Amino acid sequence: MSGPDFLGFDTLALHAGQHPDSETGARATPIYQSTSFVFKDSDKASSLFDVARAGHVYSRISNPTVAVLEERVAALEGGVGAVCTASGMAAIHLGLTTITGAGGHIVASRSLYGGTHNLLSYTLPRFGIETTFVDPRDPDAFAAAIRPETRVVFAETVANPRCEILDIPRVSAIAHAAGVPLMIDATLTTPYLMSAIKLGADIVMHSLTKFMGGHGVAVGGVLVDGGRFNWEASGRFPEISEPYAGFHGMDFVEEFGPAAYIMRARKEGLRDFGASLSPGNAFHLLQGLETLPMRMDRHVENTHKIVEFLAEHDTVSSVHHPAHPEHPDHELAKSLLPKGSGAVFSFELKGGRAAGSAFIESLQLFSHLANVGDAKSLVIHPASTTHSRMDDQALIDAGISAGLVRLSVGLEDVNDLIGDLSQALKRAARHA
Amino acid sequence: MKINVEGNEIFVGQGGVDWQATRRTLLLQHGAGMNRTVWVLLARYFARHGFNVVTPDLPGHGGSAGDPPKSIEDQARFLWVLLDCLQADHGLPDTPVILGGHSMGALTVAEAAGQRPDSVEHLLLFATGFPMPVGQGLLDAAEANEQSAVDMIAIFSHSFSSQLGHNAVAGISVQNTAMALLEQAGPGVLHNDLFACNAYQGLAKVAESFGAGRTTLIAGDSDRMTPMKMSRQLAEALGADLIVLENCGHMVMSEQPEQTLQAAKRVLMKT
Repeated sequence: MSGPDFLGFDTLALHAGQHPDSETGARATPIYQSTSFVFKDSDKASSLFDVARAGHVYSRISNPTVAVLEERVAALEGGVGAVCTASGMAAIHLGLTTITGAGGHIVASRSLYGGTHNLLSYTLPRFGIETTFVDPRDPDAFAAAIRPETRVVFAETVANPRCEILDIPRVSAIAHAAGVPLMIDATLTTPYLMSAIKLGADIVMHSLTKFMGGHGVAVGGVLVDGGRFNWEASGRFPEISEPYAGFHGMDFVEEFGPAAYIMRARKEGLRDFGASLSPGNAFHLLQGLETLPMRMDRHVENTHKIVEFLAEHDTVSSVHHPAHPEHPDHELAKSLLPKGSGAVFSFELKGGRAAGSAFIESLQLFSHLANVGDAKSLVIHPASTTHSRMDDQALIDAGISAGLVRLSVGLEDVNDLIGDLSQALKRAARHA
Repeated sequence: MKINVEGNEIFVGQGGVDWQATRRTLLLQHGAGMNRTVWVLLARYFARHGFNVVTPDLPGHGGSAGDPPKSIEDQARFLWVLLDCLQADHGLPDTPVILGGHSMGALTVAEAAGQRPDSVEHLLLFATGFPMPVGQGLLDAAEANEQSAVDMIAIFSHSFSSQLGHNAVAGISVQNTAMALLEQAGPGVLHNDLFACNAYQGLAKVAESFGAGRTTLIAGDSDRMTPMKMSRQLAEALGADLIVLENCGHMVMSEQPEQTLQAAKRVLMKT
């Protein structure tokens, strides 16, 4: 039977996690720019440290402004809780290290943001954590790579920059059959375009810096716990399901049930690594989040028109966006991303690197910089910038050629964007 | 801890503190389809303020094995078997206990008090009422193990304010956490519990044997699962004090943790 309705996405984007301030009546979320919070009495103080009462102690661990953003993202993602971090990379690090340590193993898509690839390839191995990279379009490869010491499967919803779409239902089923959670970077799709948790993901992270904020003025990240993974039954996660000497012998599953993972991430990872989000940045990100649904619709609408324009242009050899009928994941995108596959994609120019350089330097509206998901349109050459630390083979595996150009389509008038692309393509054509 | 009770491994939480012979015992019983984690803050608080806290998962719930008891009366009988076992073999003092319960769990502990009134020091009921009718639509959805049963409970159990959020526990969505908890219940468990609530008729007998003035009921002013009218009826039947929490639905412990704690403290610290 049909039941009552939950509050809608657009409503949650505006209201979740916040009530008008009880002291002042402020409608907007106040910026609680305070490192610490006064205890009403000694009982409250000790109870907060014992996790026997709710409240804030110190802004590295929680802050009222940041908490609004955390709860809002948790509500939008359908998660039991969230922890905000100083950046998207901090969210990935927190998400992984909450459940992995020396001797641990990760199975990851080989098509990842360059910074993530770097973390998994070079930095985490220094701490004894190994990663096996697999083709995100081959679910069986994930299954084959899982070992007894594997602690998490990691991938992006839509990979950057060639837009490989992860078949989350299939990969999550494979991970769960092995007793391993699926962690997803959903930065490029946001919860508006895809509900990764409903599709089977257990942990979701975002770089809030991108579409979630949308304005390009604040760096931040968030980690969301779906609350459905059975940590105890898996038997692979003593960090979550056995007493933790670093926190009064707390067994997080025993105490918090569905919220065990996210509580552990806060009580250990934020406390000890300290990559917390500032309340000022949380405020900026909240302002952006309020308009996420409208912005994403416009991002997608503009992107589809630009994909169509580029696909028909003589100087373009290929366009890698799932909206394009020739994209390998075109059909999967219709199923998993019915509202659109996002606004970050790549295309290849005839003429390789020289044409690419000429094209980028000729653009006037598109800004040449290392970011995506801004309200303003952006462009970059991945092989020489965001993915420059990958070796040649890793670049080939990730499908990043010398002539590949990445666009992040913004909210400008699409006719102006197409006009800008058109004049730049003319200049690039001289190198074709 | 996990102990064997009537052939089943039963999970019993202690609020993170071992029991002591000189302390009063506070048992807190979860509601339909839930488990001990609904008590996390109260359990941890009172375990650090002079009480032996006992938060069992009923058979078939949370970390406990076995089939869920079919009726409120069976649940109450199970609680006494459990308490007798804990007192005999696991260091819980053999003294009258304070029985607390949420929603269905409140009916369970009330029934338990009626069964052995001399073994109960006080009844502390959270978000409950009598009778506790369950709509046929919800019963049918629960029997079919449909997601809509979880959805209905998640929506009706939270005040509008709580559906928007602003949880006192940083970053936690109370509504989504309740949903995740209900989804973890095994097939048929939620229906079993809702059916037991719907069928329970034993309050008059409880009132007869337990007597007035020994019960406190803490209820949310916006509770749509067990509306205030039914809470008042229950309070009247048991001669209970009624404490009403503001801006609060059915999930009092997670929706208004501080108000709930202060209300419970008023009862437990004075009795």
